[in-house]
Parts: sequence; C-alpha cells; structure tokens
Amino acid sequence: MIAISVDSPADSENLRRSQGYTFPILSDAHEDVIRRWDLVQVHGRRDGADISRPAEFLIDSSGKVRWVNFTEDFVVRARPEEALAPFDAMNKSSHSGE
Amino acid sequence: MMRFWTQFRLVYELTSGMMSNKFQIRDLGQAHWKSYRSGAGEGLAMKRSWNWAVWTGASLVFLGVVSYPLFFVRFPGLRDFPWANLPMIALGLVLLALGLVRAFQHPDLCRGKIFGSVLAVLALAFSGFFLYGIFIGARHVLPASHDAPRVGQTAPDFTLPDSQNHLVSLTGALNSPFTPESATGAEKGAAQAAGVVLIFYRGYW
Repeated sequence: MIAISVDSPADSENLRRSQGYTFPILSDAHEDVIRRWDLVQVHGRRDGADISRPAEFLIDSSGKVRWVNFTEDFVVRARPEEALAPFDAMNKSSHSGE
Repeated sequence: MMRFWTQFRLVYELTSGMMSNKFQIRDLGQAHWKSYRSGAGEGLAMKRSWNWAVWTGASLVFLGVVSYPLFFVRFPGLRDFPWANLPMIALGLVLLALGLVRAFQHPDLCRGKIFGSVLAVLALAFSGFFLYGIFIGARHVLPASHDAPRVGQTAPDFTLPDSQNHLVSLTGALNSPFTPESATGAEKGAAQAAGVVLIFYRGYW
C-alpha cells in the first residue's frame, strides 16, 4: 500500500508517526503525479492551493490497473474491505492461472 | 422541560399568593401584572426565569456541528452520512424554537427575546453552513478525472520522495520482495508483491 498527497515529507512523517503507519507516504508537493493522473482538485485547499482528490487504485504486479475508486463526495471514502475484495479476486485469478 | 416550568409556576404562585392574598390567580401574566401594579411583585419582575431551552438548543446546534469534524469523522458510518450530528442539530433547533416561543409569549416571566433571537439566527446560520458543506460543498468540488487511469490500463510510472525523503517508484514497489505476515521459513522474502493499493488523499497540510 502506498499513499500519496501534496503534503511535504515532514508533514507526512508526522502523520506516519502519529498514526503508526508502516506503508510509505509519498509527497507530491508540486502535483506532478497528481496532475499526470488527472486527480487535481483545483483550489481544494483553504489557502487556494491545488490538492489531490481522494482516489484509490489497485495496480497488479504487471502495472495494470485492476480496480479504481473515485468518490463523488469527499466525505465518503473507500473502506478497507472495498479495496481488499478486488485484491483477493486478483490473487485468486493469478493463483488459478499458475 | 414541563417539570421545570410547572415548578416555576408553583413557586411563583405561592410567592405571589403570600404577598397579596386578595388577588385570585387565574392567569399567570395577569397575576403578575396585578402584583406588579400593586408594588408587591416588583422584586419578582426582575427575577425572570433563565431561558434554558434557548441556551441548551444553541449549545446542541454548536456541538452538533463541531463534533463532526472533531470526532465523528473518525467513524466511517457516521462520516459518510452525519447520523449522529443531524439529530443533535435538529433537537437543538427545536429546543431553540420552543425557548423562543416561550420568551415571546411570556416575556414577563421568561427571558430570551433578544439574545434568544440572536442565538437562533446564529444557530440557523451555523447549521445551514454545516448542511451546505456536507451535502453540497463536499459533492460538487471534485474533478471528473476523465483522464485518470482506468481499469485495464497500465498505470503511468512515477517516482516520489517518501516521508523520509527516500525515492519510491511504482515499478520499484511492484517488483520489491514482499513478506506477508503469515510467511514462514523459506517463504520469507520469496514472495513478490501481488500488487499495490495506491491511495491518493487530500492531505493534512
């Protein structure tokens, strides 16, 4: 699991420590990736700066997108089980293919 | 609320009765007016009851709004839809309305005509702001993201610094050895990541 936001590495490190997260939290302060992935929410921040919209992707080991979730309401986010279900499905299909 | 009101009435009737027995108390307002005119109730006129419904109502509205970002967002079910906050706000507005009605119907007995109105306007504005933010503001600001990677497409690779300024790339993460917590002995370090869940989030700024 990898998380990405416009927060600085220092802010992300604070978040990681305070929440005890073990996954990498990447910093896209200049919105390079967020823009390339068309996820910019213009003026999303209170100070008018652009941020990333909430979005979740499941990428398989070949780099293909297997599941996406774009919420239309930013208070409604994907639950862990919503991301885990396609992950399980992906694992099953890859095992049966072996 | 009714109990408090009844008790107040009882105390009032007893005290005004003691002060001027000649007045028959049929109507509270009338009785008060009479005792006030007779001079006996002058002290009472200053002691109008504290309009608790107005204050409790306004506090509930305030609490109902601020507890959403401060507390209830932590619970997915209560964040997706403000199940906890809406009843609090609704109850607060009802209490506030009842308190106001009482203040305007019995201004001689009950305080709150002016500050009750001010609190009511503030509470309405506050809850309106909350409802707008939750039901309209949160829904119409997100981009369509038509060009975002879709299912079946190859995710564009990227490299970004993590929170300790180590560069992390998507392909690197996909190819790195992954050890499930359930792995034992020889399995350790042997498994390749089956995939990566990528979470873009708004950030904490």
